[in-house]
Amino acid sequence: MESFTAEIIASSLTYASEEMGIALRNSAYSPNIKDRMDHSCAILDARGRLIAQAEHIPVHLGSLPWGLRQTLDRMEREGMQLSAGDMVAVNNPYLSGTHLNDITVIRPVFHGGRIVAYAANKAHHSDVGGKVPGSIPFDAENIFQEGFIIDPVYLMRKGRINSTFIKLLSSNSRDPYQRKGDIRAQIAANLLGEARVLSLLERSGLRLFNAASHTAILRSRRIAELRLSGMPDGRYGAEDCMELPDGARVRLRVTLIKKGRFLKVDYEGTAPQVSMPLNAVYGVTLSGVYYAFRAVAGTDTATNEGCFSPLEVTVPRRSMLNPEFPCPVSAGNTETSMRNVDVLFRAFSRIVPDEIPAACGGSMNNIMMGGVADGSTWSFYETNGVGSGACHGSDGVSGIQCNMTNTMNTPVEIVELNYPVEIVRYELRTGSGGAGRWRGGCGIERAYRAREKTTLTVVAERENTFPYGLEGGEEGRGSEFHLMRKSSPGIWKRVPSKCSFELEHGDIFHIRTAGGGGYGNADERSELERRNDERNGLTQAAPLPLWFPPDSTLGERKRKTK
Amino acid sequence: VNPGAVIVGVDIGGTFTDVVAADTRGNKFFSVKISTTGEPEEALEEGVRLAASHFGRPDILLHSGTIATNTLITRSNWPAVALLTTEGFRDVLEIGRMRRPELYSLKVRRPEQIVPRERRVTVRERTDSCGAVMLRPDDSELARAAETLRTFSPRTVVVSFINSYANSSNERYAAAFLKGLGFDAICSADVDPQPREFERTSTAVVNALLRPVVSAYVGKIAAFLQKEFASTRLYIMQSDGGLNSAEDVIARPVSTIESGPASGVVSALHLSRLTGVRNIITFDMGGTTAKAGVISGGEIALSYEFEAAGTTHSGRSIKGSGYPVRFPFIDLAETGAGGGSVAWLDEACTLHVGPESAGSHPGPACYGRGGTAPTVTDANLVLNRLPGDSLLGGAMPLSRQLAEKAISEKLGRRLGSSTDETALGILKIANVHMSKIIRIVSVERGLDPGKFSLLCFGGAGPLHGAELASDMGIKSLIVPENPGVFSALGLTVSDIKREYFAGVMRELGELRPDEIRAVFETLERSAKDEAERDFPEIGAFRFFRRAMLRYRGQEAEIAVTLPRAGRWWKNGSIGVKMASMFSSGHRRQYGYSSGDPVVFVSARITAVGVRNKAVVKTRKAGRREPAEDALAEWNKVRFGGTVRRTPVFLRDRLIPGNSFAGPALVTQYDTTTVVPPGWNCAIDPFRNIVLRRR
Repeated sequence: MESFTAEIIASSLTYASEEMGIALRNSAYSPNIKDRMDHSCAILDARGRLIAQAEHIPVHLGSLPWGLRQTLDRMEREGMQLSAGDMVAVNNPYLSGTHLNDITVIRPVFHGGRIVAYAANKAHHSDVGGKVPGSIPFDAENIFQEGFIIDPVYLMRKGRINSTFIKLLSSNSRDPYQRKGDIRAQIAANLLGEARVLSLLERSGLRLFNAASHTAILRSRRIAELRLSGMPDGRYGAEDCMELPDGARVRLRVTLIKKGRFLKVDYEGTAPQVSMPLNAVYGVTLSGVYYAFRAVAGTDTATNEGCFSPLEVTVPRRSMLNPEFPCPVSAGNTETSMRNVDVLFRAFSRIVPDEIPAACGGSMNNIMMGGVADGSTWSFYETNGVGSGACHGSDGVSGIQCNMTNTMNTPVEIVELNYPVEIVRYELRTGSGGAGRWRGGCGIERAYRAREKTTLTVVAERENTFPYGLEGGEEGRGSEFHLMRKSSPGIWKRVPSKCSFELEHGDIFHIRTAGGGGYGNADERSELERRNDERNGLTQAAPLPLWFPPDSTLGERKRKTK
Repeated sequence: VNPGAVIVGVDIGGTFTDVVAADTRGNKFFSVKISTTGEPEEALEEGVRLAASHFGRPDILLHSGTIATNTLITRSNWPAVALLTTEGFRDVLEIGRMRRPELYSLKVRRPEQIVPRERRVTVRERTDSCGAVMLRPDDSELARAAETLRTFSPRTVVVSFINSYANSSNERYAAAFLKGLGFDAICSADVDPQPREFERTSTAVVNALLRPVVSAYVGKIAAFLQKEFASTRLYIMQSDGGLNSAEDVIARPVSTIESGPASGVVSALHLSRLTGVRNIITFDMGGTTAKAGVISGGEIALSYEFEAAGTTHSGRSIKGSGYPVRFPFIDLAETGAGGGSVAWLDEACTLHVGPESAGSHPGPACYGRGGTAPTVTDANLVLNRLPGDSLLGGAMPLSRQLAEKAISEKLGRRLGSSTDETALGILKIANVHMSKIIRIVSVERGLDPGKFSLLCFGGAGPLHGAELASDMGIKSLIVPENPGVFSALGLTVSDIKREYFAGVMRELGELRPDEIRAVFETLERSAKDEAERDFPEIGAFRFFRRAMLRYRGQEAEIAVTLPRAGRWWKNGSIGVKMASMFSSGHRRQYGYSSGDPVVFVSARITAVGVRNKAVVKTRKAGRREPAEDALAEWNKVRFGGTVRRTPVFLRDRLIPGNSFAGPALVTQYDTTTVVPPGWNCAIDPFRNIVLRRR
C-alpha cells in the first residue's frame, strides 16, 4: 500500500461520519434531535466492522456495529436481499441494540455491483407509541407495551422511499409530523455518508480502501493492546445496585480480568432479567464497556473496531444485562446503562486509582409528557443532567450530562414555545455534591407546570442507592421527585423515581437530580475552597421552593407557530 | 471626500501587526509587518506613525484586532459582571446546554464562569412565551437585589429574564431601576432579542465583560488620534466583515470578536470583484492554524452563533467549550495545522500531524532555536520547497541539517522510510486536515469545491495550496500580490456595514404580500434613519434584504437573499416565491425538500455604506516569457514519487502576462508558491499569481 494512505482514508471517513451528524441534526424536526442531538452516525466496512464513528452519544457506540451484524443476519434468514439504492430501518432492540425509540437506518454502499461499506445512523424518536407519551413506560411488562416494533424493513427500495412504512411509523406515534421529518433527516444523512464513501472510493480504488480500513483497525487495536499491557494484571471486581419501583434492589456485578494485552469483562453475579424496563439489551451493555474502556485507555486513535478487539465480554443470558425477548428494555438503555458504567469505572479504579472519578449522579432522569392539545396529540421527552463525580485534582462539575449520554438540554423558552408546559424553576441543586478533598458536582432542580391536562412519566435512578465517593470522599445526595397540586398549594408530595401520573392545569412536578460523589477525605479540603463553596452557596441544601410565578393564561390562547 | 484620501489599515494579530497604507487614486502602496509586543494600542500607534511617515497623514484609519478574543482567552483583568435574573433561574448561565465538551474525558471540565454564582442575583417576575407579563418585578424586591449586587461593586449588571425576547418590558423596568441607583445595567434583549435563554444571557454577559476593556482600548486610540492626527476618522472592523463607528463598537464589542479573520475574507471579496472570479474559497495558513472561508456568487455567507474563546475539533467548534455569542460573523473553519504543527508517531507507528505546534519558540527544528520536533515547515524544507533555505527574504536562515535530523530520528527510522518519503507523508497528512476545513465551508454548505478557485494567503498557504486543490478537485488557485498582509489589505477595501433584524415567526402561507413587504420596508426605514444619522460622511446607503426561513418544526434556518429589483416585490405572490427559493436552497444543502409549511423566522437587512477605497491599478500584459533575471536558481524538488529539476522564480521580477508550466517555485519576501507538475502558472493584470490545472 502507498505509504500513509491508511491515515488519510481513516481521517476522511471520520470526517464523513461527522458530516452525516450535522446533516441529520440540521434537517431534523424534533427538538430531541435538533436541540438535544440525540443521534449518532457511523460508517462500517463490508464485514460490518466499525471503521468510523462521529463522537455523538456513547450509548449508541457499541450498538451500531453489533446491531448491523444482527440485522443483516436476520435479513438473510428472512430472505431479504439488499440491492443498490436500498435502505433498511430497524428498531427492535434485540436486533439493533438500545430501545424502541432509537431507529437505526442502514444504507448499503454499492461499488462495482458489490456492497463495500455501510452508512448507518441511529436517532432517538421522541415517541414511538406504547403505553405512555415518550414510550418509556416505567411499568411495562413486555416490549409490546413500549411501542411500535420495527423488524428490518425497507425504508428505501432501489432508490425509492417506502412511504407506506413512513406512514405506518408516523400513524403509530403521538407526533406524526415530527416522525416524518426526523426519518427523512436520517435518510438524508445516510445518503450523504454514501456519497462521501463513494467519492473516496473513486479516488483510492476498492483495494486500497479496504486495505486502509483494515490497517486503521489494526493500528487502533495495537494501541489498545499497548495501553492494556501497561496496566497491572489481576482480577478486579465491583458491584452496584438498581432500584425497582417496589423498593427492591437488584445487583449489577462485573469482574475485570486483566492479563497481558487482553481484558476479560465478566458480568457473572448480575441479577436475572426483570419484568420491567430496566433490562439492558446486550448491545447496550457492550456500549458501556466500550465507553468505559475508551475513556480509560485514551481517545487519541481513530474510533473503530480495533479499539475494542482486546476485549472479551461475557454476560449471563437472561440477566438484566442480557435479557431475552420480549422483556421490556426501554429504561435499560438510559438507566441501567449508566449504572453499568459506574460499576465498570469502580472496577477500573482498582487498576488505575488516580485516574478514575467518583460516581456521577448516575441517571438520565427521563421526563416524558404528553396529552391532547388543540385537538391533536403531543409528546415531549427530555433527560436531565446530574453532578459529575470529583476526581483526583478537581471538583466535580454541576448540572452536566455524564457517562452514557451527552445530549443538550431543551431551552426553557423552547419548551414553552412548543408545548403546553411551563418550566418554573431550573437551577443547580445545591448541597447535593458529595463532600471530599475534592467535592462532587451538584445535581439539577427543574420544575414543570402543566398548562393543560398532561400525562407525565418519570424514569430515574439513584433515589435510594447513592453515587459512591472514592478514596474517602462522601456519597452524593440521591435524587428526589415531588409533586404539588394546584388544588393544595404549598404542599409537596414526594413521588417515586419511576412512576406515571396525570397533571391537571397548574400542577407542578419538581425533579432534583443526584449529585456526584466526592474524592478524598473532606478534612483535607482547603480553607479557601470551603469559603469559596460557601460564598457561592454550593454546599448548603435549599428547601423545596414554595413560590412560583402566576399561571400563564396561555392554555386558553392558541398556541403559536412552532 | 478628498479623492486622494490616504487610507491606513492596521490588523493586529498575536505575533505580527500588519500595516498597509494606500490612497484612493491607486498611486502608491505601502505595507509593513511589525512584531506585536507590549500593549496592542502601542503596536497600532507605531504602525500609524510608520505609515504616516512613509505615506502622509491618514484621512481614514481602519482597524481590526484581537483585543476582544484575547480578553476572553487569557481570562485576565476581567471586570466584575453581575447578573440579575428571574427567580428560579439563577444557574442558567452555569448549566449552559448541559453538555460536556469532551465526551470521553474522565475529568469533566467547563470553561470558567464569567459571572460566578455569588454574583447571580434573582428577583420575582415573569413573562410568558407569548410576551404577556404575568408578574412585574416589585420595587422593594429590586431594592433588596440592588443591595446584594452592590456588595460586589459590579462594573456592569446584566438583566436577563426568561422570555424577554417576546417582551422585554420587565427587563427594561429592572434595568431602569438599577440605573436609578447608579448601576451600569444592560438588558439581554437589547443585545440579542432571540429565544433560548442561555445563548441570549451569554451574549449579553460577554458583551458586558468586553465593554469596559474595548471602551478603554478604543478610548486610547481616539486619544492618540486626537493628539497626533486630529482629522483622522476611525472605523473598526466587525466579525461580519463590515466597518462600524467606534461609538457603536464600544456599545456592542461582541460584534468585533472575530474581526481579524473577517478582514481576510473581505479582502478576498474585493479581489473577487476586481477579477470577476465570483466563487472563491479562502485558505489562510500561518504558523499554528489554517482557516478557510467562502465567497459564493460574489457574496460572503454569514453565520449567527459561535463559541467565543472555545476550542475546535477537526475544524468545527466544540459545543460547550467556550462562551456562546449570537452575532453575525463570517463563519470560518479552523484547524490547528500550520507550519509549526508537530509530526509524531503513536505506539502503533501511525503518523500524526498536530494539533501540537512548535509555535515560534522554539519553533520548527530548522529554526535552530532548540526545537527538536519535526514540523510541517521542516518537511517543506527537506523537500526543497523553501528556496535559499531561508524565510523572510533571507532574513531568517533555516538549517536543513536540523530538519533532516528531526525527521529521520523522530520518525523515519521507526517507520523504516527515507527522510524524503516521511516528509512527503507529513505534508499529505497536514493536507488532509486542511481539506477538512475546506470541505466544511463548501461541501457541507451544498457547494461543489470543483467550481471554486482557491485563494491562498498567510505564510504557508501558497506552499500547500496547489496540492490541496488537487485533493479537493479544485482546478484554479490564486495567490495575491501581498499574501503576508492580505488581511490588513481587506480593511482598506471594506464598507461600512450594519445589520438589522426583526422577528416574524409566521408561516409564509399565512402572510399577504403586503405584510411581507411591510416587514422589510419598516425595517429598512429605521435602518436608513440610523445609518444616515451615524455616518453623515457617507453618501447613500444600500440595503440588502434577507429572509431567514425553515420548514415548520425545523431548527436550523436557511438565509435566502431576496432580489432588490422593485419588479420582484410588486408582482405575484412574494410568499410563494420565497418558499420556492427556500426549497431549492434546502435541496442543495440537505438533498431533499418537502411540501411542509415554510416558517418566516426573521427578516434581516444589511445596510451598506460605500466608502472611498484603496484602488489597485492594473498593468498591461507583458510578454509570456519571464524576464531572465526573474529566474533565481534551479532546485531539486520531490513531487510524489519523483524528484524534478525545478526553476525558482522571484515574484517581484514577474510581470502581468508572464506564464510558465510547473514544476516551479515562486519565491517572495513572505512566502513561496509551489507550482506542482501538471499546473500552469500565470501573472494576471492585478499581479496575482494564477495557477490552473492542465
